[in-house]
Parts: sequence; structure tokens; C-alpha cells
Amino acid sequence: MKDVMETTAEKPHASPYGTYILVWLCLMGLTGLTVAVSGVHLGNWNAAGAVAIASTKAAVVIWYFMHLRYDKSIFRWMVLVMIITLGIILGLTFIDSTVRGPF
Amino acid sequence: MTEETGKSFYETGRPGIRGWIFSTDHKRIGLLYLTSMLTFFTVGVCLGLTMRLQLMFPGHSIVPAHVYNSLYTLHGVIMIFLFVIPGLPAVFGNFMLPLMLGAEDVAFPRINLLSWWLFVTGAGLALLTIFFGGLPDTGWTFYAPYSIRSGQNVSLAVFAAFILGFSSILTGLNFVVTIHRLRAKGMGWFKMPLFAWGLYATGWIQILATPVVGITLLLILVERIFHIGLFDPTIGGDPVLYQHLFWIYSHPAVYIMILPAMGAISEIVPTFSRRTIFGYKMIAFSSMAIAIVGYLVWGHHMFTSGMSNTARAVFSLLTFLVAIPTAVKVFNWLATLYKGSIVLQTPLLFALSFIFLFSIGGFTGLIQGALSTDIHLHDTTFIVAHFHYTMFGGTGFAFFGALHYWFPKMFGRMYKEKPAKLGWLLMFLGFNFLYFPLFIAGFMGQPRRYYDYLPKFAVPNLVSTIGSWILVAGLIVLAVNLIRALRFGEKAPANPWKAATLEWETSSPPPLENFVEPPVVTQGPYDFVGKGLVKG
Amino acid sequence: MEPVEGSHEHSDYIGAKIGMWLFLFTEVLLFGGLFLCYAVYRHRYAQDFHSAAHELNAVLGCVNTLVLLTSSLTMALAISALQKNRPGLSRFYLWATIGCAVIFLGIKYVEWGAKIHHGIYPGSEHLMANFNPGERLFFGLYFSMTGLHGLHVIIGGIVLLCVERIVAKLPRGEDPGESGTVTIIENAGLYWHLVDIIWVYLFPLYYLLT
Repeated sequence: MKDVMETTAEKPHASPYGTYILVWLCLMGLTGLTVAVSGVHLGNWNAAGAVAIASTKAAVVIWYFMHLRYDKSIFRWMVLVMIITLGIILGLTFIDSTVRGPF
Repeated sequence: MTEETGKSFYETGRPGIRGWIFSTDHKRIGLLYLTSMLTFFTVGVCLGLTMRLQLMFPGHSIVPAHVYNSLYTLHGVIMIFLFVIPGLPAVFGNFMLPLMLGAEDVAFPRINLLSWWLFVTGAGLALLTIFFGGLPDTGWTFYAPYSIRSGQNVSLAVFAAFILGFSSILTGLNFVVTIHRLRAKGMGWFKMPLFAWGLYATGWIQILATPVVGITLLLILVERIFHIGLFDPTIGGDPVLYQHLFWIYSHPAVYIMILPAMGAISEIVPTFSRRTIFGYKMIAFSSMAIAIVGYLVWGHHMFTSGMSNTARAVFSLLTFLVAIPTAVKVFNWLATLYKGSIVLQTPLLFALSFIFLFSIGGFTGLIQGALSTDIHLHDTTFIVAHFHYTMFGGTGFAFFGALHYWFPKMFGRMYKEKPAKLGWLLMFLGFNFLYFPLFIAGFMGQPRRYYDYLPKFAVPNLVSTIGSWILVAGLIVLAVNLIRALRFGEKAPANPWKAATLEWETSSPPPLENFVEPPVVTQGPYDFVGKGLVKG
Repeated sequence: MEPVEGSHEHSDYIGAKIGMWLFLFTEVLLFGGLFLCYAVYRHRYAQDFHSAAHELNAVLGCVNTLVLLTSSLTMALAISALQKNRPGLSRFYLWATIGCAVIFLGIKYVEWGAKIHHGIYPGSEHLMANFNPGERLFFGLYFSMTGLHGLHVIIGGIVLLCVERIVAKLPRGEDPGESGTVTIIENAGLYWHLVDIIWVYLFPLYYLLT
């Protein structure tokens, strides 16, 4: 059975070191950006901005460091399912807790 | 391995008890689960019987109130975490999934063994509360803030439940990877048996929901030790948030319990009506749909907990959606039976009673899904009756149906048909006597989880207690019949029911690596004509 | 769990990787429950959360972020090196990653120590007497989330140590892809990157929103 599954297309993909250095520089830059943005007072938008930048960084890590870019599409679908689930859980809880106000 | 062919997996592998408890063979692990689980089921049934005995007459007392609290907590924890959640996937999923897919084993056999060990460890820790600090008295839901303040040993109990959660996650993870990677040559997604589809949907819920309750229970533990105050209103926390987190898992968990059961019914119905299943793809998709919609409805457990009105309305609306994919399945099973050549053997009797009882459970669920009626029915015995109709009438009956269906494959023996039918009849009658009166008592207003009640609820409660005895009589008849068959039953042929799925193509019981030759699939899973089992 | 995950006999590269990803999903949802608590209470006690965040040392938090991001880089390089069949280089990068983990934990220890020294820890009298409900919850969440994350850093470090031993014991001239070692290091790497990602969220949510 195992022999049937093992095909050459499923071998690991080796990335050049240079790509990773670039990705790392990008992550460092985004960290600088999030620190800089936190100094500006934008009210509620501060939290939104912080989460947005963090998500960008997470996406970069997943896409390059965690090889999602090079892997079979099944991995991307699975990650999508997980993110949607997390979104549903957060979203549906919020239709309670934001509307309820102090208890 | 090849020189072992012709011998069943019982005759190969290490001898003695260590050959079982350290075996990575999926069939042995399935049987390990079966024995441990039936043991816990027996304990759970005894606890339930005691509760029913306590409630036989109003004012009649065999246990004090606080012991009654521990009784229903323990009954719930054992039945849910140790029987219904792992029931079908861990026993029949483990044993049958690789056989149905034509694989040698699951994807990660060692993790599979680890999952059983975690199960036993978790169960052991839960039982330790008897000796250390006292049995928990919070109900199986461990609602905060009482679970934070209770003087009983709730800490150990929630830690045990956390470990059991990990066991469940590892089983689900194993099944998802197995289904993705180890299907036999030629078996596309839509040539998979429907039981495998049920397990696939279940596996995803186990992976994506169980960790949430894991962290929630850990937080209860941390709360009890360090007083961080997340669910404690005296420090600033919100107990309703605990309920959210708990039901984010525990509602999808309801579908962990029922989806594999529906899968097993989808195997039994076509086999005993000698017809290909009606609407294969719709049943497969409805399993996935139930898994998805299951994530959207947890709030209906909290209609009276002080949620916002917006949340109540949204959750109520979403709750009604679950009925659609469930109804799709029921109609497809009935359509499969239509014009089939029905053979009324024990597994089919269980399957038919599943459809009947689960429909009652489902419809009464809609009554509680409606906001206004739920205000009246919340925390009454109506709820108790409803979830026993789905969990016992549904999953429980499917479990015994599956046990009778796959018994010849698992043990290589045939059981006697007449006692099995008698056992089923007693179980079916006893079940309805036991739980239907609780609908009426609940509708009249009897609250659940009380050790006593007003005299006006006397009649339904007496009937219910008598029903519990009939039910247990049925269980005893079934158990004696099966245990007798293990020793004295006739040798089972490879395919006693003339079923069309792959597990029946190997000998009963199967050899160590399941198939002598790796099977190649060319037909659908229920192609009785193509496989020559029924004349075209 | 990790050593078991990596050491099964199965030679199915994709299958092992799917299994690892699914395991990571469970980790994400484990933290997801805590992030949910954070979000609900941040919304309810916005002001208290702002004032409590002033108590944390943003410089140390920032340094730790840079340390973890660098460790992710060395982890990725270690995997690449092994894929290109250079086990010596791979081991160097693995040690660098483990070193980053130790630095991270050291800084975390200093931070926690300072907080506890000032009487800011869950259930302390100082916290109960002098802080608002929202601030108490902020610190309760801070300790739970960074604590759970720190636990993951420790587990990840131990996993990487095991991987380093496996790479060190590779027979000379053997293709690491054939023996399954690449699968093991890739899966360990996935775990390590996840630990990094969680910190990427924790850092701004706790240290920067002042």
C-alpha cells in the first residue's frame, strides 16, 4: 500500500537560504512597524492594527517557513478550514458578549 | 508476515496480556476499547438504576441529596466521556475503518495505542476521586462558578476529562489521516463506505472542537489553584463565558456521538434490504453538513443563562438548520428500505429502532430550539428525556446494532438470533417506558437533577423506574447471548450477512494485516448486483 | 507527544505531515479558547486593559519577539540544510534555535520574576486590593497565556534536542530523506513555527496596546 502512495511528486521541497533571510528581514520590519503604530493613538483602531500586522506576520511564517506555499493544495484547504472554524467561534461568541454589555 | 496467512489476528502476535495492552494492531486496540468501554457502561447503567430507584416514589429516599448530586455527575461523566463519545469511533472505527478502506492498519498505529492508554489513564484518574477528596457534584458540565468553589475533588475530575479529550483528539487525527492516505487502490472518495464518511466528519470535529474544552477545563483547574478569576464574578470574570467555551466543544461533541452512529446505520440498512443505498452522495455530504452546522448552534444550551437577546435569536434560528441534513439522512434510509428485499435480522431491528427513537429525540430537540418553549422546558426532565432519546435511543441503539452487525467479523462466531431479538424487544420497550414518561413529567414542570419531587409527578416517575428494569433485563439477555456465542457460537463465514463492503471480503476474524492481497476496488460500496450478492 | 508523532514507522511523508498539521490545529484551538477570553474581556474592560498594559515591559517583550523570529529563521535554515543533505550545518542551526529558546525563556523568567516581586500575580492581595476587575483579569490572562506559551517553548526545545540527536546519529553518506529524518525535522519545525506565531499575537496584544 505504502509503495502505491509514494510518488516522486510528494518529496520534500528544499528552499534556497536567501529566501528565508528575506522573509526574516520582512518579519523584523513588520515588528518595527507594529511598535511604531502602537505609539500613534488611534483609539480602537490600535487593537485592530496590531491584530492585522500580527496576522500578516503569521501568514508570512505559515506561507514560507511552514512551506504552505510549496506543499500540496490539501494543506492550504485544511488551514483554511481551521481559520474559518476559529472565526466562527470568535464571531458567534461576540454576538452575545458585545450586545449584552456589563452583567 | 506472509508466512502467517491463514491465521487470524487472535493467533498471531505476542501471547498473553502484554500482547494486547501493548499491541499496535488496530483490531486489538478496538477490542481493548470495547472491553474497557462496556465495563464503564455497566458502571454507568448501575448508577442510572440507582438514581431511578431513588426517584421511584416521591419522598422515598435511599441516598441522601448530596450523594444523588454525585450520582448524576458520575453517571453523566462516565456515559458521555467514557461511553458515548468514544463508543462507535474508538471501537468500531478502530476495528473496521482500515478493513473497510482495504488498509493494513491506521496511519499512526503507535499513536492509536497511546490514545487507548490516555483513555484508560483518564478514566482511572476520574475514578480516583472516589478515594481522594470526594466525587464531583457539579454535573458533567462543570459549570462555573460552582465548580470553582465546590469542596469536592473537581480538580482531579476536570484534569481526567482533559486527558480523555486528548485521547479523543488522537483517535480523530488518526482517522482523518487514514482516510486521506490509506484508501485501497481504486477507492475514490465516493467509493468509500458511509461509515468511513461518518468517521471522517467526526474526526474533524474531534480535532477542531476538543481542544477548546481542553483549555476550558484546564482553566477551571488553574482557577481552583491560582484564582485568576476568569469565570469568577467576585474577581471580575463572567460565568456565562465559561458556558460559551464549554458548549463550543460540547455541542459539536453531540455530533461526535451521533455521526458515527448514523454511519453505522447507513451500513446496516442497505445490507439488510439487499439494495444499494439511496442517495449515497447526499448522505455523505449531510455528514459534513451536520459537522459544520454543529459549530453554529452551541448557544441553544444557554437560552436561560442570560445571553443577549440577539444571540438567543441567532442561535435559535441556526438550531433549526441542523434538522435539515438529519432529515436528509432519515429520508434516504427509508427510501433505501422501499422495495428492498428486507431481511429482518437483529442489526436491522436496532437500525429501525434507531430511526424511530432518534426521530423522536430530534423533534423534541426542535421544541427546545424554539426560544419561548425552551423557557418553559429548560432544566426539566423533558431535557433529560430528549437527550436520552438521541444519545441512548440514537447512539446507544446504533452501538448495539453495530455490535450485532460486526460481531461475526470481530469474533468469528455467530450469535443466536432468537435471544438477540428478545433482548432487542425488551430493550426497546424498556427504553420507551423509561424515558417517554419523563417527557410528560418535564412538560408538567418536574425539574431535573433533584433527588425528590412533588407527589403530582408520581405516576410518570413510577412508570419510568419500572421501565429501567425492563431495559436492564434486555441488556442482560443481549449480553448473555453474546458472551455465550463467544464460546459456543457457530463459526462465522467470511460474509454471513451477504454485505458488499470490503471488510466482509477477508476472513472472520481477519488475519493480522487484514488482507492476504491488498484489495483493488472497482465497484461502489453497496453494489450488491455487481458483486453477485443479489441477482440483477 | 511530539517524539511519538515523529517516530512512527510509517514512511508516508505526506501522511505524517497531514497528521502534524492536524495536531497544530488542536494547538491553535487550545490557545483559541484563551484568545477568546482575551477578546471578550478586552472589549468589556477596554480602559482597564489599557492601564494594565503599562505595567508590562515593552522593551523586553520586543526583544523576545525578535529572538523568537530569529529562531524561526534558524529553524527553517536547519530544515533546508538537512534537505540538501548537510547534516553538520543543520545541527549548527538546530543549536542556534535551541539557544534562542533558552534566551527567550530567560527573559521571560526575568519578566515574571519582576511582576511577582511587585506582588502582581493571580490571587495576590496586592492585585485584589489595588486593581480594577479588568486589570486583574488582564494579569490573570497574561500569566495563563504566556505561561502556556512558555510551556510550549520548553516542549519545543526538548523536541529540537531530540531531533538534533537523531540528525547527529545519521550514518555518513545516507540520504536523510530516505530514512525519514527529513520528515521528523520538518514536523518539529512546523511545531516550532507555530510557537513563534502564537507569540507574534501575544506580543502586541499584551505589550503594545497601552
